[in-house]
Amino acid sequence: MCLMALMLVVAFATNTGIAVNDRIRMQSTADLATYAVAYSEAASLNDIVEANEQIADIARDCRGTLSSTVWNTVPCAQCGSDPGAELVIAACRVELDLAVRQFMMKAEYGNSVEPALEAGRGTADANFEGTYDKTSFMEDIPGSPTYRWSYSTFWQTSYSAGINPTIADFEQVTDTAFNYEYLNYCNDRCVPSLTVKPDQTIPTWFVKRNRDPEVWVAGRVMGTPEKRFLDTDYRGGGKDRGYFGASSTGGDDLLVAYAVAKPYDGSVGPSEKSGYQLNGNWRTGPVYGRKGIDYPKLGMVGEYRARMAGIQDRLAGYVDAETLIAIDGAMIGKSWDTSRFEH
Amino acid sequence: MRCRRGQSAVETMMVVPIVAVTIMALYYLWSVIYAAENAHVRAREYVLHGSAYLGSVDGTSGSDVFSGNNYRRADSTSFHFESSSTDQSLAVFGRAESIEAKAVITSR
Repeated sequence: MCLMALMLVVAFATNTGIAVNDRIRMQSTADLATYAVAYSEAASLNDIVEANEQIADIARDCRGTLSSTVWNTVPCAQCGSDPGAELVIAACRVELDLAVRQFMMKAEYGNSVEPALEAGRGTADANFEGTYDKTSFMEDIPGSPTYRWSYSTFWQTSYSAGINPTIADFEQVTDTAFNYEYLNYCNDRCVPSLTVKPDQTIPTWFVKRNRDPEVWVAGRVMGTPEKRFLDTDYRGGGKDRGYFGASSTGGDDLLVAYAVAKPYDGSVGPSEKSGYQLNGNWRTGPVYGRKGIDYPKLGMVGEYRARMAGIQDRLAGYVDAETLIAIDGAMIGKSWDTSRFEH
Repeated sequence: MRCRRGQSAVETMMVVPIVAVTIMALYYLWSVIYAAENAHVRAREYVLHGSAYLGSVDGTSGSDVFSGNNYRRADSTSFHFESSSTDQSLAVFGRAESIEAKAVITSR
């Protein structure tokens, strides 16, 4: 009897030690997997900032060209505009069209969030084998920051428009002015007068009004570590190679861990609510000059990195994603309850 | 009446080694598990915070997402950071276990 008792003590001590160790491993796995998602999203956001800066650069160059001279390309043949300047603007529209599409391609859910989720699952499996399929970043839950249509962006160019699911809600600036000075020959038959071509606007860069709080990720990793020598299969219901004394049907020896992480420290676009700081229409004389475009660019900071965040509430065992991202908007004025997450 | 004074001594002599071996085994298991936990936590901390937190710890090395006093800028959506840490259990009966743990953050 004594020997039996001693054996049991050793067995349970071993079991408990291994379970604690695996619990630590599982928590580390959840942390690292969630961090991998946030890191990948941060890298995507940096790419998005770069694309936004590209749009601003094109706009700046176009404005520089338009404001560098008083246009007079076809004297006595044109009324109301200058054909040379209009050609420049047409070329700018094409360039901006491509740049806006490039921005949208990078911001699109399938090119920013999906690869990040894949990186998270890969990281989970690299740290704890067998967890690939049991890793979730709440991407199936409407309202979750990783859900496909939680965020979307309406975009337009001079030639096309659309709405796409994106990594965050972006708002496009559509009133960036492209005007110029020219010699207008309308008056008194070929007598020129110095005129400013009235504002014509082109959709340009993107703004993220709400600076960053909506981009974060909550991860849950689950798994039953393989322990052949400990699984006694005592209920005879299956062999999942779980812990000694635990149900071998995969119930109470399942380890679950949660983590939260987020990208931070960058800014996709200027977030001023109105005015020339948003659309760059800062008048440096009769035309919107090169200098005005610096204001939006100052708000584009491609320094995104990722950090771990936290969970306020104590979570034990399996918790439904719906519970994690509970719908109680009436209480906090949001569609999902972020009170459980510090991010 | 027969004399039984030696019986307890004999029983004690039989049980003491078993109890001693059991205690030593538990001590050894605790040491192994402690080393494993240590290695895993070190590896994880290193890949997340690098030498900023674990600069003086032996047996831990690799790449990390930390630089200076902040996390690294996320440069690419293709990334791989990996650290490993080794820790040894205390020797019992001349035997010590060496445990290696890895922590990985990857897009592969």
